[in-house]
Parts: sequence; C-alpha cells; structure tokens
Amino acid sequence: VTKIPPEHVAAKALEDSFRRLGEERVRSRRRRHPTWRPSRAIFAALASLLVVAGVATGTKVFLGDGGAVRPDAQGLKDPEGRNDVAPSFLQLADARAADPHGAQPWGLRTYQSAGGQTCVILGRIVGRRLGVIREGQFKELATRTGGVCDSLESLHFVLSLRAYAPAEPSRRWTLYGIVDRTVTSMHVLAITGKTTRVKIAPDGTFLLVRGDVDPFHLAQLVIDGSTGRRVVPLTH
Amino acid sequence: MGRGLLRFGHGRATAGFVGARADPSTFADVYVEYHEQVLRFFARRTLDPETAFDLMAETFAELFAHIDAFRGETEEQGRAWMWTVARHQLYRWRERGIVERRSLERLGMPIASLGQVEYERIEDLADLQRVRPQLEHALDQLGSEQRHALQLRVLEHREYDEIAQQCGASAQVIRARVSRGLRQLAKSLAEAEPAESEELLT
Repeated sequence: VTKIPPEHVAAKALEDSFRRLGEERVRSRRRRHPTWRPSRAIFAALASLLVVAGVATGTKVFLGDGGAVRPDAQGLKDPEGRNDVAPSFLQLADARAADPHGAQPWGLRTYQSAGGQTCVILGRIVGRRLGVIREGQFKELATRTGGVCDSLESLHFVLSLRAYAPAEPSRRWTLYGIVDRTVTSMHVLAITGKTTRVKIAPDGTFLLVRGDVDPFHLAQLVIDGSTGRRVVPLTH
Repeated sequence: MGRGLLRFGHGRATAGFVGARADPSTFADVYVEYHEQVLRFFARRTLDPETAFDLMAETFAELFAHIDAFRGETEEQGRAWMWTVARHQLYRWRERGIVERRSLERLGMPIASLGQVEYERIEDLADLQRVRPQLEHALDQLGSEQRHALQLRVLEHREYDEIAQQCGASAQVIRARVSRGLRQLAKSLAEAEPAESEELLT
C-alpha cells in the first residue's frame, strides 16, 4: 500500500485535504442528484405527462421545428419559457466552421441523452444534414449516433477536442461543444500567450476547426461567466 | 484504498483519474500515487524544494478542480493530462516568477510549511549532483554569500545547521540563500532542458 510517511507533513496535509474535498464533492453531487425509487404515483404522473407531450408535439407547441434552444443552468429551457425540453435529438446546432482544406463545412448536432446529459456530435454539413466523408462520399449520420455527453447542469459546458488524421497533411484539429447561459465568453490561450476568441452561437454551441500543426498543443480553454472563470487544459 | 486499485492494465478494477471523475473521493489516491513523480519533475526544474512543492500542490489542486472536465477513458490519458497541467504550471512560473495558487485558493487548501526531513527529501529528488557541472559554472555569476552557501550545501553536502554555524547566520537564512541561488541556476538550466521530459514519455 502506497502511503505518505507521517514526517512528510506538508504532503500528508495535502492528501488529507484531497480526501476531505473529495468526500464533500461526492456529498454535493448526491444532494444535486439524489437517488430515488420511483413510486406508482410517479409512474402515473409520467404517463400523464407523456400523453400531454404527445398532444403538444402534434400542435407544434414544442420547438421541434424551430431553432435550437440555448440551455440555461437549470437544464434545457426555452428562453421564452414556453416549454421545458425541445425534442432536439435531430436538431442541427447553430455553430458552423469552414473546413481549413476547402472541403465540406463542419457542424454540430445536439441532443439529450436518456440519462439527462447534454450531448454534442461533430460532423460535416451538406444542406441540413450532418454526416461524415468516407472515401470522398458524404454519408449522413444515423439518428442514434452517439456524441460527447456531460452534465451541463453541473459543469455549465460540454467540451470535446479531437484530431482527425493527425499524421496526414490534410489533418484537422477540432474543438467543439456547448455552454449554458451562465457562460458569457471563451477564448483559447495558447502556450505562446496568444489568445483566440471562441464564438458562442445563439444556441450555446461552439466549433473551431484548424488545419495547422496542433494549434491546441498545451493550450487552455478559458471560460468566463457568471459562475466565475474556469480554465480547462486542452489535451487530446 | 491502496495501490491495488491503481495498478492499471492488469484486468483489475481501476480507480486513477477515470475512477476519480466518477468518484472524486478517490482523487486522494491518485495524488498519493503520482505526487512524488510530479514533485521530482518540479524539483529538477526549479531546484528549489519550496517552489517545487507549491507547484506540485497547485497542479493537483487544478486537476481536482477540473476532474469533471477530464475527457479521457484510460489511465494513460489521465497521466498525459496530469503532465500537461504540470508543464503549464512550470511554464507560468518561469514566465511570471511566482507560483500561482489559483486552484488552491479556490478550493480553500492551505499549504503546510515543509519540515526539515521533507525539505531534504525534495532536494534528493532534485538530484542536484546531476547538474554539478552547470552549477559550478553558474556559481561564478552569484554573489559571494550565495556562492559560499551553495558550495557548502550542494557541492560539499554539509548540513544546514553546520553551514549556519560556519557563516554566523541562522539555518533559515542559509536555506534562503541556497534557495535564491538555485532559482537563479534553474533559469540557466531551463534553456538546456530537453523538449520532452522523461516523465512525459511514461
């Protein structure tokens, strides 16, 4: 068993702090997401909601055919307060980026996972369709394609950094994701000190595609908002 | 929790960075497992035990603060993330000359003072004999008091109390002289440092 010798007072104190903070964070998560066992009454209530939702969808009360909805800290909500969750599993997000090698532009699709997480899928855009380019041909992504998911409610952002064919001359480096309304601005801080603003689309999505030699190497994403500043190291 | 949970790639249940993301209460085990490697990384580059310790503490505080944002699925990716954060800390220290304590402060984590045993342990990790030729060259650039303190401590391996007695100053003052001298030396060594550290290749 690895142990820090007691005479290493400062190192041991840090270990104790991390144990205490770790346990606090676990308790905090449990408070935010309490485990519960659904009762019959809740099943009945959910069934009723499903019926109402079905009717509402039929009358286009939901935003399924509207634009993307930027989520807030409490979850996905219509900015005008008309409803709770847009049926966004097929929704094309607002963020777009030109391809650095002149091929089809890049875009995103957002959806809510069954576990309530916010997910983002990256792809190439042709018309209003999102897909991939294989052997020079566009292939639309299946509706059940999985993306990068996380809890927007607790993190306030979902982020992914991916490299495509990094060894090839036609390589691309992508940084994409979604932020909620607490986030007001973002920028990439390169190790050289150079900053690059990350534009946040109206629905909260963002997307950078670069063709340089790893422009995000040892860089950080600086996220500013009403909950303060967060600095996220960018690693592949 | 012990080391067993941190043996990766042997078909056993793993904790590590991936586990700590799901269960932050296990992050302390990640710290216990890796803190000495990170401490050695900083000690060899700063040559100053206190600076090395502060940078190590801030590195792990930043990792803990952002564990939810860690995207990796393997421990190797976790270690890569850790070294990236560590190198950022070193870069910022070299640029600004001070150790940032942003994450430590945000988490409300105080740093205890290094005891004698711990201080000397970090000096051992720095392996100062490794840089003896550069050190001898750099000594000429220092003031006489710093040069004398460094010669006795690093080249002759004398105890701080013994040096203090010989110089007519307290051990604390001698430690500060050695620390300042080594920091100056660290700047000259930084230029000769290889692009990739051995830690980053593990």
